[in-house]
Parts: sequence; C-alpha cells; structure tokens
Amino acid sequence: MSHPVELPGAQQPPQVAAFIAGHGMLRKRPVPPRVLELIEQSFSRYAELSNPRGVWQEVTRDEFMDLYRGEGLNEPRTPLDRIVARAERLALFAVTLGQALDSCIERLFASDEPALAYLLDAVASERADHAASLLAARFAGVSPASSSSVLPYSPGYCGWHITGQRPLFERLRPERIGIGLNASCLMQPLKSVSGVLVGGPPGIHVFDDDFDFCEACRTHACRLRIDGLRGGAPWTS
Amino acid sequence: MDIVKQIADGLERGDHELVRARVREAIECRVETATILEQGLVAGMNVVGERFRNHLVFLPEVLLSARAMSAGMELLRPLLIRDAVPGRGKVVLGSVRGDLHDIGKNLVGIMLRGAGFDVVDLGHDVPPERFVETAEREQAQIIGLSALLTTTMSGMGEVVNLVERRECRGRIKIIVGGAPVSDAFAREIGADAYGFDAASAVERVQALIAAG
Repeated sequence: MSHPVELPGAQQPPQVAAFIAGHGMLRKRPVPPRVLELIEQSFSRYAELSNPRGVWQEVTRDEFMDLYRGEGLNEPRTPLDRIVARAERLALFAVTLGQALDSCIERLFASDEPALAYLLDAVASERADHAASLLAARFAGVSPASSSSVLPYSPGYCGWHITGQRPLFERLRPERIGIGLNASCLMQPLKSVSGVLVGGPPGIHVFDDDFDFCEACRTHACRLRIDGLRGGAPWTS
Repeated sequence: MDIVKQIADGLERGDHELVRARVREAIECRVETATILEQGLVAGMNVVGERFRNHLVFLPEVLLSARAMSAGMELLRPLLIRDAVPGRGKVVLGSVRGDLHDIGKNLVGIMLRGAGFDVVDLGHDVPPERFVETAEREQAQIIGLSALLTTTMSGMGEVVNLVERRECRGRIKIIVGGAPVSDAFAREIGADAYGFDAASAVERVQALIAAG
C-alpha cells in the first residue's frame, strides 16, 4: 500500500544562519548585507513557489533486493547490501517540491538575475533533501520499531546506479505526485528525491567510506548523516 | 576618480546600475571602446575573479558582478562590433543530450562572459550534432560540455568523436565538467580540458585559447 502525503513542513525555508553555514559562507568573513538580502529574497520565493509532496510504499527485503539489482549496473560492493540485510523496515519513496520552482530558477537565469537564481536553486536543493527527511520521519512514526532510525538512500549515490530509478518508478509510480523520469533516469521536476527509506537500529547505517567509488565522491555527505544519527536525528523514533 | 576606474570599481562592487550609467557616460565622452572593455569591465571582473579564487568573496557576489558586466556589455557590444575590437574568444556551451541540469553550465557561462568571452549557450539536452554545427557556424574555438549524470556523461565522448570525424579537432577544443566528471574521464574520452568548477573552467578556457 502506498502513501501519498503533503509535506507542509518542507515549505518553510531554512534558518538563514544554518543555510549560510551549510554553504561555507562563514569561513573567511561575514556575509555582506547585499548577499543576506538576496538570501532573504530567495527564501521568500521558495516559500511562495514550493509545493512539497511525497509518497512511500513499504516493501520486503526480497522485493527491494530484486529492485536494487536493477539492470546489474551497481558497483560490485555497496553499503546498501549490508545495511538492507540488517534493516527492520524498508519503503520506496519519492518527494518533490513541484515544477514552479524549476521554472522560476530558469526564468531568473534567463532574465539576468543569476545571483538570485543560484541562491533559489541552492535553497531548493537543500529543502528537497529536507523533504526526504520529513518523509523519513513520517515513515518512522508509523508503528515504529523500538530504537529505530530511518535514513533515505537514493539511486545515483553510494554505488547504487542511477538506472535503479527505472524499477523504482515502475513499482512506486511517483507520477501520482507529479514526478516524471526521462530516458536518462533524470527526475522532473529537478528538485525531487527518490530512493529507499531504511529503518532499523542506528548502527546499521554506519559504514566506512572506503569503497572504490568513495574516491570520486566530492562531498562525503554520508559522514554528516552518520554523525547526525549519533546526535539523535529528528527521524529517529 | 576617472570614469574607467569607476566602471572597474562598480564591477567589483557588483553594482549593475552604476556600471550601466558609467559605461553610458564613457561612451558619450568618447572614451575608446577597447579601454572601457579592458581597463574598466574586464579589469574589474579580474579583481573579483581573483578574490573568489582566494575565498575572499562568495559566489553570489561574483554573480552580482557578472550581472554588472552584462549590463555594461549590453551597451558596449554594438561598439565593439563597429570598431572591430577583437574578442577574447567564443565558447559554445550546453548540457549534453538527456541532461536537463542547467545550474553548473549557467554558472560557467556567466563566469566566461564575465571574463570577456562570447558565449553561445545552447541550453540543456543538446544533441552532439548541434554542438559541433553551432561551433563551426559561429567559428567558436571551444565547446564546453556539462553533465550531471553518469547516464548522460557518455554523451561527451560522442561530441569529441564527432569533432574528430568532421576533422575540426585542430580548430575546436573541448572542455568538460559536471559532478560525475573527472580529469581522468576527460582524458579517457579525449577532451582537451576538465573544469572542476566554474572558476577553473574559465582558467582552462583561457589556457586553451592562449595555447591556440
């Protein structure tokens, strides 16, 4: 059974200070007032235009692994192999912030407002991830297992080949909330996130970033997620 | 402060209204077009680029300066053509077939324009033939390819192969960039350069053009 949901919490822009810190803007000097003003403008546009929605569908481990193997293009060794083996609950998911944001960002670039376009894109990317976290919290709140943590994992990351989107979309049907998939496995609207929500004891999500593909990773964002679990993330029930 | 210095100063501050007004004034005062461009707009943008490389300004500030550059160039472009002032070079830019991501490519385009290059932005989801045909028609020296997906980055190799098949490899050089792209991948497909980010893409384009 699938669960389409509204995610009004994701329509709120982030805290300015957190957004600035997240974009490395405090490293050398304070943010100038004209940039702060642009950040505020981008937040207003975001709140006005975003329409966050999500959908999830619980699956068994075997069902997920069938889907995960996909077209056989995953890396030979991936963190999800081990994580899923120890998971208590799994759900396919997708979230989107809607088409209006994509269109506005495109318009701003075309009308020579690149700074505002860039900031709106940055806040929307951050909020799309936040929407996935909110959906994870929602999933964790449905008959949660004891001491369970839920984290989202997505095709295109950590060795899960991007073509994994195809079987995921066939099963989940996120078209219902307005997300399409093109021939390159690219989601539209662009500010969308899909993948699997993995629930279980927090320890199952911990892994070392020493896989072959980790070398090419620019962000190592998995470290922050794992650190977040230690700090008691909001989606930890 | 002389008017050309004011243009450079306005550029550094990202004040597009000031830059537009001062460029208009400089044109009315018959300041040489090449002087307005080189000592005003490009000089100001060079300072901003240097500050960005040294992490002294944030990307949105660079983009404000780029907008100011664009405001000045709008007034200057017809005069540059009239006076036959040689350009810094022309770049055909786009996201490869199947890829709808624009942001990285847009940033590169803005920074290239800010550095004084002519940019023909083909947008996203661009087939290989369109890149090459446009570069030939526009007599561009560089094709810039962007991809954000592992499923679309193979399209970059198709463009390199097409340039080779059409025997225009000597005239047109190819630079690639995007999240899944690396220096090793660029070498593997036979691209001439890899831009890690928008700032480094501009440096690589400058180097490719200087190398002829």
